[in-house]
This record gives sequence, C-alpha cells and structure tokens, in this order.
Amino acid sequence: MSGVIDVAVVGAGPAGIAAALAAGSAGCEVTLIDAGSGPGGQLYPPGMLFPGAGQVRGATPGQLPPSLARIRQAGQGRHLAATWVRRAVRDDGGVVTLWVGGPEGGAETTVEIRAVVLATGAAEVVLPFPGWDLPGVTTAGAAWTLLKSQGVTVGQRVLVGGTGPQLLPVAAALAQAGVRVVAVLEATPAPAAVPQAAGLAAFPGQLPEATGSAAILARHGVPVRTGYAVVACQGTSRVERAVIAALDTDWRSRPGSCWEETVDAVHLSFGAAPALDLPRSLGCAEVRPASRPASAVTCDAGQATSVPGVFAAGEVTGGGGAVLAELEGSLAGISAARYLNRLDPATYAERARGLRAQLDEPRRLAAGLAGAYPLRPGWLGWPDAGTVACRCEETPWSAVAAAVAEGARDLPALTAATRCGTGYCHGRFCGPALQYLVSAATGPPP
Amino acid sequence: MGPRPVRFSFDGAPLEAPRGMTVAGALLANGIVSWRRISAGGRPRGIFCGSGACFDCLVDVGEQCAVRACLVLVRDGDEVRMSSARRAAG
Repeated sequence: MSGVIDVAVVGAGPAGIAAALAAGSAGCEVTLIDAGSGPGGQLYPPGMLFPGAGQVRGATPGQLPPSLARIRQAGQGRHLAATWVRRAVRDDGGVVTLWVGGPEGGAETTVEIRAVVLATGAAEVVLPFPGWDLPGVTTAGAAWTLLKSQGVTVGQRVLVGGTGPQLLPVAAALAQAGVRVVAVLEATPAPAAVPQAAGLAAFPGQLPEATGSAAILARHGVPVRTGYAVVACQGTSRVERAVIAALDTDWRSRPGSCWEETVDAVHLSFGAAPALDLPRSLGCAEVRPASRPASAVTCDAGQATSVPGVFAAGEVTGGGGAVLAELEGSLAGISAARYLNRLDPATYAERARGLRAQLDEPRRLAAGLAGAYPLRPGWLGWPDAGTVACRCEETPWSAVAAAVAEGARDLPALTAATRCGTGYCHGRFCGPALQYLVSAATGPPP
Repeated sequence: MGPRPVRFSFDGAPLEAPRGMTVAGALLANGIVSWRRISAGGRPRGIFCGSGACFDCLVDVGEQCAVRACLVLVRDGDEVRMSSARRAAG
C-alpha cells in the first residue's frame, strides 16, 4: 500500500461501519480495517448471513441494521478483512501509520492516514470463581458468536449468568437453537433503577433478536432468576457441574443457599471492558467511570479524542449498545471529514447538531443501564485460594490477595508482584476484576 | 445440498465439519471442547472469549503452533493437534 490516505476506521462493528459510511459520504477516502472475515463486529458476526448459514443447525440469520446492509452492498474494495492492527504510531506531522497483518503472523504492511476512527469495541467482563477456566465456561459473547456465525453451540445443557440485559438475548438465541438453558442467572437481585422492560427497550437496535427475548425464554420454559450466580464450576476435562448460590444485595453468597446443576457449558457476562490497546498506543486520554472497573477513551462532543486527528466511537468510549455506537460512529466520521477540511464548518455544524440531538436518548438510557447493573463487592468472596486470577499466567487468587495484603494498590503494582496481565491477552480478561480488587482495597467499592 | 464438508483431523482422528468454519467451530461441531493443556498440572483449556482477545483457544495446526482456533478457518487436510502453548516469561 502506498500514499497517505484520508481516513482509516479500525473496527467494523456498528460504530466503525457508521463512521466509514459517514466519512466516505463526506468525500473522504476511507479504509475500514477489521479482524473479522467481513463487516459486522461481535454483535453481527460476519458469518451470520453467509451462504448456507441457514442450513447449519441453529443459525438464524438476523435482521441487519440498515448501515450494515448498506456496507455489505457497497462492496469490500476498501475493507481490509481478517486484518489486525499490530502497532500504531503518529508522527509529528500528524500522519498515523498502522502496521497491519493477518491474525497469526505472516506478511505485514503499513497504512498511512491523516485521520483515524477507533471503533475497537470491548471485551466482556467475567469475574473469577473456582473452575472459571474449565473448558465449556465461556463468555456469553462467545456463545453468541459461535451460534450466529457458525451454528455451533458449546454445550447442550447450559447456564447463562452474570449481570446486565445482554444475558437475555443470548439465552433466548441458545434456547431457540435447541440448547437446554437451565436458567438465566442475573446477579443483580432486582434491577430496580431501570425496569427490565426499559432495558429490553434498548435492545431492538442492539441485538435484533432481543425484542421478545423474555417471551422466547418463557416459551422455552427457561427461568430468569434474579439474585443468583454461578459461584463455582467443577469437572475434569470440561465443566460438568455448576454450583449456584443465592446472593444478597452485595452479591455475597447466602449461607446454605448453594446447589449444583449438571451442565456442559456456562456462558457468562458481567458487562464490557473497552479494548484500549490501540487508543493507548496512540496516547489517547482515558477515564475510569466511578461505577465501572474498566477505563474508556474520553471524547469531546464531536468524538475527538485527546490526540488530534484521532476519533473514537462505540463501546471503546464506554459503551451503551449498537444504537448509540452507530450514532457516535456517524459523528466521528463527519468529525474526521471536518478535520480533513472535507466538510465546511456550516455543513459540519448542521450535521453534528442533528446527530447530537439523536444521541441524547440512547446516552441517557445507557447511563441508566450502566447504573442499574453495577458490580457488587460480594463477588470478591467467590474465588478460593487456588482460583486462577490471570488465565494467561495462571496466577492463583492467593497470590493476588497476598500482593494486595502487602500493599499493592494499583494494577501496575499488582502486575509487578504477580505477573498478572503480562501474558497473551495483556490483562484484558483479568484486568477489570483485579482493578476492582485493588479499588476495593483502597476505599469504598467502585 | 451444501458444499462438500471439510475433512481434517484432531490428534490423528479423522473428522468432518461444514465448510467455512473456524478450527474452534469445527472442533465444537464434533463435540470437542478442549484442545489445549497448560502448565505442569495440565489443566485443560478450550474456547473462552470467541473473539481473538483471550488466547485461551490456542491450538496447533500443521506446521503452525499456537494459533487462535476461534480465528483460523479449518481447511481440508488440516492436522489439528492438542497444544501446550504457553508464552515464555518476558
């Protein structure tokens, strides 16, 4: 690839697709870079509509958001699929160079751009408990992606657990695919701040099948139990049993409340943690909201990050679902175009005003949902001494607890003492839980 | 009738899977949930995040060691093997 192009959008989920379309329609030359085999991201995995998907067991092609349908029709000439950004550097002249390549080595090439939109999404938060590293225990997102893109399921008798409205559509999709979902376990005893109905109302754009998730679960006889959690998994070569506990309002297991269920898979999600590798390598400022264990990229009213020419949208800025992500993506796209002088100030101002007006409601809803499903400190009692804290380094919970007892009060100190977060995943999966642990040691729970 | 299935093997056992699947999807479609053993204790691992971020699902495919099963597509003739990959300290 040669020559500096206008805009690269990293991530082809709802935010990235919207950003690419917005910047493109403002006259920018846009390259969309994504790890997936096609656009869609984790909510709409590319295989979701691949030819023949309907013949695969359980694959139920969903209704695509209009922007995704448009970008698929637009062709993929400037879409670099199955491509990972390995490194990003911004030089003094404001040109950003991205080193890109396949997922597992091989040829690497560079892309030089004047503006970049980061729409890198998020990883799910899973809180550790004994046996959470057993095969068959996965994120809820993994169950969703495998089912939607390939029509495969991890287990045939499963539990779906964690906290947040995202659990219901995942469980409903599994039930519709013929999986026996023993129960949905929502840890938050009574998601009172936002009624369940309001939570579901946020979803039609976020997960197309979500409308009526509760009805689907009811039809399949799947109970949704609030105030319960999987607190241990047992098995030899895979999960065979899950221990379920009733929780108090702080997520402590109620004494004597535990029972076992025979299962062959457990799918978990306690919310999302933004994927910050790329924003961090470009030096984007971030903030950790008080109610959350994970940081997010900070943006101004036009989705500009603290680094000139670098914009961000969607889950990487803190999340709130696909509707919000698409609007933020559109705003980031036109802001990148304005940055490159492809939109005059008056046109930009008018379009931005229109998008911001639409952003108000989904932002309010996202804030309400985030507040309705906070992590509660009682989970700190779920791991035992031998529970794996860092999956990559196999650091036992006893080691991180000892490091905190000896004074580690932030993640770098914990990493230095225990090697947590130094492995393959760079702390993406142990980070939120360990951030919560050190925060709880320094003051009131986050 | 769809296209002919992909024929591959796992630890020498011949298997088939629908075309277009990842290695992880193909193994799961055959009821295999674990394809990595880590550390001295040999604790099993399989798929966890499903999005290329956690590296739990590392597997050996032909000459390639430690590829993410959730990302790499299975091909005809692939010899898929249990992985013991663990990144060296540092």
